[in-house]
Amino acid sequence: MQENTTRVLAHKVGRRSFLKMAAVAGAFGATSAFASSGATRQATEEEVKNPFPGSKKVKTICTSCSVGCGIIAEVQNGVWVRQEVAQDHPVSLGGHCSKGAGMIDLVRSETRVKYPMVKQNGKWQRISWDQALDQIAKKLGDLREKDGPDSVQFLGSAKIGNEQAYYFRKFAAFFGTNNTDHQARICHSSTVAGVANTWGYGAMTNHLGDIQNSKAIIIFGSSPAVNHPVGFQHFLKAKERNNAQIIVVDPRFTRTAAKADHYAPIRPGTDVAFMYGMMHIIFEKGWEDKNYINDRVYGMDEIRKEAKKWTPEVVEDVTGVPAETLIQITTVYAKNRPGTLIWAMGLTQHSVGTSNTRIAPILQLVLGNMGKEGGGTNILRGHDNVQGATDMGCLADNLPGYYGLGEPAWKYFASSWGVDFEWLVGRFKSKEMMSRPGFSLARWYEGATGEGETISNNAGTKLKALFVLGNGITSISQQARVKAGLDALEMLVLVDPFVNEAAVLTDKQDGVYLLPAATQFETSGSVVATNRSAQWRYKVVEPLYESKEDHELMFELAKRLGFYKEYTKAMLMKENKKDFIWPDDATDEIARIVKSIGLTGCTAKRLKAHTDNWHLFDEVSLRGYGPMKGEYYGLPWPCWTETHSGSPVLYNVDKPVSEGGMGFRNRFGLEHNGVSQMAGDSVTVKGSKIKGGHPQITKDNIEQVLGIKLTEAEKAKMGPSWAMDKSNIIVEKCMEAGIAPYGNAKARTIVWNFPDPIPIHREPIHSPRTDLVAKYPSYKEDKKMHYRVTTKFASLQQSKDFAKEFPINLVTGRLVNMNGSGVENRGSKYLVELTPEMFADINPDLAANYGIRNGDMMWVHSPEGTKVKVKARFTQSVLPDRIFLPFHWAGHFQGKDLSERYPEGTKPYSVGESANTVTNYGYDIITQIPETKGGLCRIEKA
Amino acid sequence: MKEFKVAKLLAYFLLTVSAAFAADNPIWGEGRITNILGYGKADSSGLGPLFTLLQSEYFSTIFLGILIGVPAIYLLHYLVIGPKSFPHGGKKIKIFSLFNRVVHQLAAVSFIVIVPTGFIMVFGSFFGGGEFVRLCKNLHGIFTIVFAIVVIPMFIMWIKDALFKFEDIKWMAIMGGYLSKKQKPIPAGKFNAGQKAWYWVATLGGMTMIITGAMMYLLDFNMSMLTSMTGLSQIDLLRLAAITHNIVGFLVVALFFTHIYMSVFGVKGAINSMIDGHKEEEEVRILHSTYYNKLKKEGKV
Amino acid sequence: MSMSRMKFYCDEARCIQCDGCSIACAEAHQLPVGINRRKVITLNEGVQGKEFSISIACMHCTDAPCEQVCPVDCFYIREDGIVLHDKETCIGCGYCLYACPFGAPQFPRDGAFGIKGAMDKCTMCAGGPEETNSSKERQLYGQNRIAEGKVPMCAAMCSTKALIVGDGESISKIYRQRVTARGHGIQGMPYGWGTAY
Repeated sequence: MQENTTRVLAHKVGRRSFLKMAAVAGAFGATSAFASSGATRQATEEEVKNPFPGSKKVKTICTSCSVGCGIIAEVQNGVWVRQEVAQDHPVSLGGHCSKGAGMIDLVRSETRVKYPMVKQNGKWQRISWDQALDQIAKKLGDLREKDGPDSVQFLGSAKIGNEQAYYFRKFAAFFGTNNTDHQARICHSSTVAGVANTWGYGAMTNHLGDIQNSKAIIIFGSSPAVNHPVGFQHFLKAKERNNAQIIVVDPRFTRTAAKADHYAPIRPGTDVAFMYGMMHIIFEKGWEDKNYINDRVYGMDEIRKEAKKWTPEVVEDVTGVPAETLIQITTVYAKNRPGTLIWAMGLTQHSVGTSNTRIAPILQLVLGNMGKEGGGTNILRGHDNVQGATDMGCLADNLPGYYGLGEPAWKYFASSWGVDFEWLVGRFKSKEMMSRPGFSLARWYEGATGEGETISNNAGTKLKALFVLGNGITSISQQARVKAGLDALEMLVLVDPFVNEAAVLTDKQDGVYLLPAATQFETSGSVVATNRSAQWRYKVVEPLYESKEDHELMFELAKRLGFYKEYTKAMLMKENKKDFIWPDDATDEIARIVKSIGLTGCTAKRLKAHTDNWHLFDEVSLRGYGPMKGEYYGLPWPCWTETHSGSPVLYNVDKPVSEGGMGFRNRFGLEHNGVSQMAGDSVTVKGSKIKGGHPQITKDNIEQVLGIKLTEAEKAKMGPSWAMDKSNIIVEKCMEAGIAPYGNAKARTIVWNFPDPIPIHREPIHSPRTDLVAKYPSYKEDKKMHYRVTTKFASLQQSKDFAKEFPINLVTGRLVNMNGSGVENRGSKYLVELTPEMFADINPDLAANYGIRNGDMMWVHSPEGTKVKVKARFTQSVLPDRIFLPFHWAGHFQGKDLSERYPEGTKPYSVGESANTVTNYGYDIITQIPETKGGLCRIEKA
Repeated sequence: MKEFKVAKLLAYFLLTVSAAFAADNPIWGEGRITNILGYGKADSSGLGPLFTLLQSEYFSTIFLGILIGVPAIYLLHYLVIGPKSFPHGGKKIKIFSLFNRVVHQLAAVSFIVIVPTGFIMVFGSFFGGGEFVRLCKNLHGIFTIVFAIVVIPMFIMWIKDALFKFEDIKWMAIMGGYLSKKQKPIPAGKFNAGQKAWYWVATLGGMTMIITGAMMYLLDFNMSMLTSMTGLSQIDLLRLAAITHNIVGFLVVALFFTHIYMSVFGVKGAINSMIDGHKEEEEVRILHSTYYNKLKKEGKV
Repeated sequence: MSMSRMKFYCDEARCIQCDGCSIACAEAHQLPVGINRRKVITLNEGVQGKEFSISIACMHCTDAPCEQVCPVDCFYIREDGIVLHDKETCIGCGYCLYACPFGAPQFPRDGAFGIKGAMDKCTMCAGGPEETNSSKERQLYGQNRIAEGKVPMCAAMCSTKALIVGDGESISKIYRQRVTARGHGIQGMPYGWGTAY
């Protein structure tokens, strides 16, 4: 491409000339508007510039998806009057999808919960906050006394700020239970487990703007055009700048596939087979990056062995993708490097989710695409702060920062929180329960109904109270069982700006509380986007109606439950103050404590500066200039120190550590079966003092590895390892030596403590190919004590021939104008206008076989014995062996309309069946993520 | 009785058509894009550019011509030739029944509102648009309903008398005798050729006006029957409706003015036949000689 | 100083039907439900190689047919090419809809018996004939961003910058660059662009 063209194609020109046009148009507009009519007077300077005199512009971040688009809210007299264009935001460039463009509707929607309510005798009564909090605290306290703290389940949120999510996790810890979880369980829990177990961190490795550097983009089970529309502009720019090839592997021909150069209509649940098929061809042709594998990967021979079995013909039989398509896609992807691999729910939500999320990184390792700009595994997360909430450990099996639930972790946190360890242990039923992962979001209801061994697993008690904050639990699979769980509770507390439709689903007549939470525009704090960048939200307006900010609510409950002082002590510790400032002190508390992912540098002050100066960052590299020089936008973690730049592209050894470079993490020991796990000798991070691989730095090995001598004072202050060193001396020494404190190791393809050491193909629990179930069965044993429940695999899969009675694949997914359980979007009339009712996408051929016409109502039956009644919508985007249900509706249940159960004035503008009423049983063996992307169903005309 | 059955059928038709509101809006839905393809392309219907051309350049000019020209011609006729007059006080013949007169009066009242309001809309900019013209538009629509109620009865009740016969050619040749001041018997039945022409324009033309007008009023109403029958998109049907409405409008308005002149000015006292239903015997003998001879043979006179 | 002529262009190779533009417009001008000044439509859904999405609103044609056919002459075309109309003069006859190749005029059915109200359409965020930035202008036509020196909301908020607005020259330059970069593009004038410009 010619010099001129390249220069001219640079994104900056596009944006600037756009703005220039605005100025030009403005000048003309002003004059010509007056010239024609004699009836108008000359407007004042102020008026022409601003129709809302005296207004101010507040910067915040959209609360929909994980792209994290900037929002500029124009506020006049404390009222949000209109949205402005966030033109300078480095990731969104002023763009919004339908949800982002209508954020102002979210805040001022008339269907919001306006005051606290409790359901008594089947009727909704309005109560005051004091009444509500007193009653709830009393009940929680009573249950804790009588049945132990494990009788309560806390379900937290990916839609609240980091500080609030962290304090939600802390709340459960201080209450004394690990029964706490959030949305990541059902969306990317398998990602975190699979990816982290491959090379150290389980997050998106590059970032959206970086995709513009890719020459090939392969997308598995994800439709960024629908789910991350503003992020998708970077994909399209890659197409234009680099002639990047976009490849989509998806059961449906989505909007993303419409922009792709190559498309493979894969059968749901067969991704492992497909990727082995790709690797088969790559190894055969010798396209793998041999040096890279030698130096940076352990265990590739096992993969070679397995890949040999997957010839294109075998892959065609299993996946349904023609052999030629597989060969073409593999050729295109292997020959255009760097290539980036994208995935989302289509890959994660399977009973083999943790195999899927390992084979994809392995494919990238085979091609040497990791740690490169334009490469990486760009895993697209869902909710606006799911990355942050995951980092904050709102999980049943973790503490903030992924420290786990072992005793060393608890000791570290107790001391960091300024509380006595034994006192903290005493909050729990027993030390054993303190280390036992709690119920998960996917299956908590089994604890409420007391199914199987849940009572004995749960310290001898059922779950009697459910506390849900910002979590749309009507989008969990198997809604009929969720309903049974809700009905069995003694108390149900739902905290949300809108009606959590669990209140409508349940038959409970008493003890259901609806507490109005403030939206994220009515509070302040930080959030982490899908690419690990943190962004600050400024408060736009004060909480509307009687809503309370989420942390206020938690503090009030903590006061009534008697642990407020201990709960908030940590915010006073850094500067030894009397009163804390929210949220800044919480942000700094997190930065102080969470070292495992290097949040040390993400202080409130630095994050605010980034938001204030977001116009000073480059779109493609995220590099800052001017006063922001030396920093990457949002300080993507790990950000090792308060002067570190952040790490936008993980595992990149071509950059010095001070600019975000690093090797793979040393997380799995020093050697395995006699083979060293350290990176090869030639893998040296640029500017690093140490050549080649090295272990993670601990107090014991720091002097030897770094070749330095510590003073006595330093030794006294130092913690046991880089992740638990309160003094941060280890990290600083590492920075001086130019190395990453977490080591420089090899990525591994073998996870020795997983049931499948290397990923292998297993058919979904409900598979349409009974013949393949015999050949590739699911796991033989049921998994016991799996987040306190028992999960079935082969025992269910082979209990009957499901495909006979339920021959059609059931695929669920999203629409662009709705998010999650959908209740907040269905409170916006414009968004509802786009899709006014629940429907099922069905191929006309399939529909014709059942006598269903376009627009007819049809029943979808599930092997679980449940059914939903939805409208049929003809489309060619699904093949005749599958149907697609969007999961954004609730308010109907198995054909029954539950509208009258909504409190007055809170019913959204559209209600309908939840797709999750018919999703099938199936859970990942490691993380219990539900298999909602691989199920079966039967249809009939209604 | 016949009228009743037809009215019921009409109601049925309207009901079934109204029941089908399409899931996808036929004007502003998917068609909004495919219609662009059909605009102005060589092998498309070309109705879009045609409508724009006709409406911007020709329609209002032609209407102005009719508005001024037709009355001018009759003014000239009145001044030069003058009206026909027949002695009153002689014997009268019953011509129009009560039913005829009620139906006609209703139609007349509707026309008296519809035609001027139509003109006001055509020359809307002259009247400055806004509230006044909008009011006229609504009156135009309301009185269409009145007319729609009586047009079928009117069509049925006079169809036999309005069928063209051989003598109508002779009538046309002498322009009904109105170009001379003499009064000798003219070959015409109960209705002369001119009246017959007006009948067909008023009923069939009127029904066309009602249908095209209704299409323009309803806009995105589901007309999938029509679109699949004609192969035209709904927007093209609307354009066709607008063009038809205007062109048939020329005809209706021109003959309306003619009818007013003839029935109010051209033949003195002719209007009484619509008020009390009777005509002067002399008038019938001269102007509707064939009908008079028939009545004599039947002994009714 | 030559006058710029403001034009819209929607690049269907980038449009993904995220509906950001249509909602941005609805929010910015507080439109009633049912009026879609801007709408995004996808054709040939599910057909590989044929599916495309496109966003459509008033194209502010150079020789606007709507302006030519209006019986009450309520349209006026600004020097910068933006086509606007006076809602108080409009009688809601529908002729502009018939003349328009793009289906831009919309009619709220808020009168008794569903009588059509005054026509409403995209104003390119340039308000109307009322006093600039008065509350009456805002009520009838929505925001007047052009007078504030800002760009129309829809194109500003387009998530992939498929929809672009601005001086016709600059637009065609940007589009030409994209087409050159992609190595393929339009075969001829698609979808009535020849009519609009």
